[in-house]
Formats: sequence, structure tokens, C-alpha cells
Amino acid sequence: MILTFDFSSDVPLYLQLRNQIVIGIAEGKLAPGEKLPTIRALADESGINMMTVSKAYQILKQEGYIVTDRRKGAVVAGAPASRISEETLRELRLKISELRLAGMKKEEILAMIEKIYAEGNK
Amino acid sequence: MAKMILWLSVIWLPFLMVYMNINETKAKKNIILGVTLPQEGREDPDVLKEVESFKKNEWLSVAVLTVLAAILWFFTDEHAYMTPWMLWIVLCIVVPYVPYVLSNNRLKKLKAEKGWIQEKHVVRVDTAVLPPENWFSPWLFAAPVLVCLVPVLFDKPMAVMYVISAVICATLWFGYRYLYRNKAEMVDSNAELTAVLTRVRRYNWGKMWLLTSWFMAAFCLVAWISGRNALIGIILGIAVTVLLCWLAFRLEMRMRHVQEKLTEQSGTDWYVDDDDHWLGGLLYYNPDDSRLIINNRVGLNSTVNMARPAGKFFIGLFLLMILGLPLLGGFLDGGIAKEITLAVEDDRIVCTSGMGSYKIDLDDIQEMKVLEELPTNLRRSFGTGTETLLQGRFACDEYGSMEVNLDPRQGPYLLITTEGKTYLFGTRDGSAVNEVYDMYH
Repeated sequence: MILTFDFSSDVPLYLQLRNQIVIGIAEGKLAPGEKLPTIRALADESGINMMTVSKAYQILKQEGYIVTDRRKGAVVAGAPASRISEETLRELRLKISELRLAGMKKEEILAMIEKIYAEGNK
Repeated sequence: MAKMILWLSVIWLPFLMVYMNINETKAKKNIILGVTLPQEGREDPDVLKEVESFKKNEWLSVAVLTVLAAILWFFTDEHAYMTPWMLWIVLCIVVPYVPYVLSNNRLKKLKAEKGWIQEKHVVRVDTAVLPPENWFSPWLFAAPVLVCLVPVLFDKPMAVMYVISAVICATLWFGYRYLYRNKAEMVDSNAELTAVLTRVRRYNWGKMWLLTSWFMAAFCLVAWISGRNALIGIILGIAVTVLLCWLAFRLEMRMRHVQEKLTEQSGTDWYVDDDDHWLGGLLYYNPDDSRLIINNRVGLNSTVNMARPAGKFFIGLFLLMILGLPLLGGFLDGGIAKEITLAVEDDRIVCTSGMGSYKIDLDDIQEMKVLEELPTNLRRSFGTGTETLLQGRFACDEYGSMEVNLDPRQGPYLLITTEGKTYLFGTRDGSAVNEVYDMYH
């Protein structure tokens, strides 16, 4: 899986990393049980501070997307057992509202969601 | 003789610098003269024109530096040649990079005009090909360290030199381990290519440091074996040094060749482009990168990130060292040419040259004698050894390890023995030696 870090983006780097790993798991690019790079390796590779990488991993662990093991390091846990959080629903509502305000119809929004969802299954 | 040795050891410098720079006109990892170009850019007439102009300017710099070397050879004094030659060495390091930086800037402008700019401030990481975190064991470096120490058992007077070499040899492991950034050599989205390039670089990096540690070991063996013959020592020492330089050069060129061949087909789709972080194609400046040690884009070497405070410090130190070479030359010329004084002052024998000073209390002296000739097989273990001044720690067969401060051209010499130490002093005209001897007795 190729991770992309945009240093000119307003999105913090730890969140960029967290989001990409979540997308990677959802789209099957990262399989359950797959080892993630160590914090040091990822920091060396990207130039990002180790604390930033560590923060992203901690959030992923809290959300249940990864598990950490003393010997294996960080491993993909698959889909978390927890329910969809209120925050995720709020974000979804906000994005749908933005698309409506941009002039998209319900059918167009659904078609776009289906397309994105299908891309993740490839 | 010393001037000739210096001349022979540095005259090839401009040719080597220019050869290395011209080698950068061949695309490696999509980079030509420090500028990342797409595949079509390699054949672009404007790019080719710039490359040709760069080559001409590089050879022009060789011509200028060689003429300057010839002038220096004929017009420098036999005993005060260090300053002009050190200045010439600085010019050899700086001058060939002037056309490089100019061409780099022109190529960057050309790249922008042609629309070959890739995305900026974006870093991509392929998690499938991250480099392994295993390194050569430090024990691999232990063997040359032991070889450095073997002569200590047989050549005690020179023990300091062998121990220093062993310590340097041991520290090479730290250089191998910590002067390399363990980063994948990503060129484009081809994961297999990234893996091969990373593996080759890691392997050759380790090989270079191991080679250097064995060079130190070989140097110690040469010093020990040739201990009884200075000429053989010099010849073997030069041979070992030339061999190491040749092997290091070959390793670098092989690395570049591999990078060139493996990335011949790259640059057609997405490719890595971090030109914005390389000032003049030479200095890395990236505030977004938290790391200090950076791998050079082409070849095998490492550099530092100038956006980090430590990076600024190291680059500043390096520049000071380079620009300070002529000052060092002046210091050496002055120090070596300075008068050597030998006298009795306040119940002490004081011997001072431009490179060092020794004071011995008269009460500590156990024996003093005058030698008309230098002891046979006098070898330097630490200090200055020129045609007009020997100063520092030396060793010889008859008296073992000793502190020396004298002009080897003019005897007699004063040999002083104290408890646990031996000194050998002499002056430029030999006059003060007998005076001090008579005064003591």
C-alpha cells in the first residue's frame, strides 16, 4: 500500500496517516493480521516525526483498527467491533449537506457513493 | 621531496572532481545534474544543449586548475609551499561545482517552462518495500580491530599508533550504522525496482565501511612489517592508500552505474521528484523532514538536512574546514620553519619549536648524552615529520619510544632520559646542544 503525505495540506499529518490506514483496511489493501511498518521505519521513510506516527497508531488502536503486540508490533485488526460513532454520523451528515448545497441530487449522491464503495472492493 | 609527494598526491584532484560531476549528466533515478526530469526530458534538445555546455565548462575548470598547479610547482618555495597548495586544493573542491550549480539552476528553470513539475510537498511511502532493520553485526568489525592490535605485542614503542588505529577502526561501525538513513530508494511506483535499489545501496554501504576498517588493519600491518625500513614503509603505505581510494571510487561508480541501468525506463508515469529540497542540486534543505542524516540521491554517500540545527552546524563546520585549509597550510609552514630553541631556564631544560615545546626539570634527568647522528630507524608514531622538523612521539630500535623536537638535517642531538621517558632534542645549527650538555655537567 502506498501512503501519501501532503505537507502543504491543512489536515494534520497524524490524521492523514490514520485516514489512509482506515481507507486501506476498508478497501482490502491492508488485510486483517497484516503487519504495519514500525513507528521508526515509517518515520525514517516519510521524514515525519516519530511522535506523529505514534499518535496516529495510538488513535487507530483506540478505535480498534489495529492491535499492538510486543513482538509483532502494530497489526491490522480488521473492522472494529464497535458501532459507528456519533462523530462519524455527524461527519457523514455534514458531507451529504455539502454535496446537496453543491447542487447534487439524491440519485447522483447515491451513485457516487456506490462507485466509491465498489472501488474499495476491487 | 615533500613538495613532490604533495604534488603527486593532489594533482589528480581536479580530474576526479570533474569526472564525477560529468558522470551526473547520465540520468540516474531520473536525475540529471541534480534535476529530476521525465523520460522525454532526457532527449529534449534544450536539455542536451545545457548538458553539453556544462561539460565544456567543467573541462575549462580542469584546464584552469591544471595551469594554476603548474604555476605553483615552479613558483613556490621548497620550504613554504603548504599555503598556496592548500588554497589550490580548496579551489579544486569549489571551482568544478560552479558550472554544476549554474547548470542545475538553468535546468530547473527549463523544467518549469516545459511543465515537467511533479506534485510539491508530497511524500509517498510504499509499505510493501520498507527496508529491513537488520544491520551488519559489530563483530564483523571486530576482526580488523584485532588485526590493528596484533602489532602492539611485537612493536611496543609504536603502540600508541596501533591503539589509535584500532579505536578508529571500532568507531567505523558507528559510522556504518548511524550515518545512513534507512530509507527505501523509491524512484517510481515500481515496488520491485525500489526493493532492488534499496538492497544494492544497503549492501554497498556496509561493504564500504568494512573495506575502510580493513584498510586501517592493513595500514597497521604495513607499519609493523616495514618498521625496519622507512622507504618500504612509505611505498607500502602509499600502495595501501591508493588501493583503498581506488576501491572506494569503484564502489561509488558501480553504485551509480546500477542506478543508471535499473532506472533507464523510469520517468514515464509518476516518479519521485524532491528537487525543491535540494539547493543547487547539492545541499538538502527540507523543514518538513525531521531527520538529520540524508542519503544522497545519486551514488552511495550521505549528507545532512540543513533545515535541522545540527545540519547547519555540520555544514558550517565542513565549510570552515575547507576554507580553513589555507590557514592550516600557513600555520604548518610557519610552525615548521620556525627556529628551534634549546636552553636551560630556571633549573629546567626547555626545547621549543614551532610545533611543540618540552620542559624537563634538571632534577628529573637520569642520563644525558650527545649523539652525533640520529638513531637508526627513527619512526614517527604521532606528530610532525618533515625534511626540516621532527616533532612529537617517535620510536627507534635502540631507545624505544621517545619525544622528539629537532631538525634532522643538523646534528648533534641531545638525548635525555628521565624516569619512564626519553627525549631527543636538536637545533637548526646544532650549536646549543653542546652548551646545554656542558651546563648540565
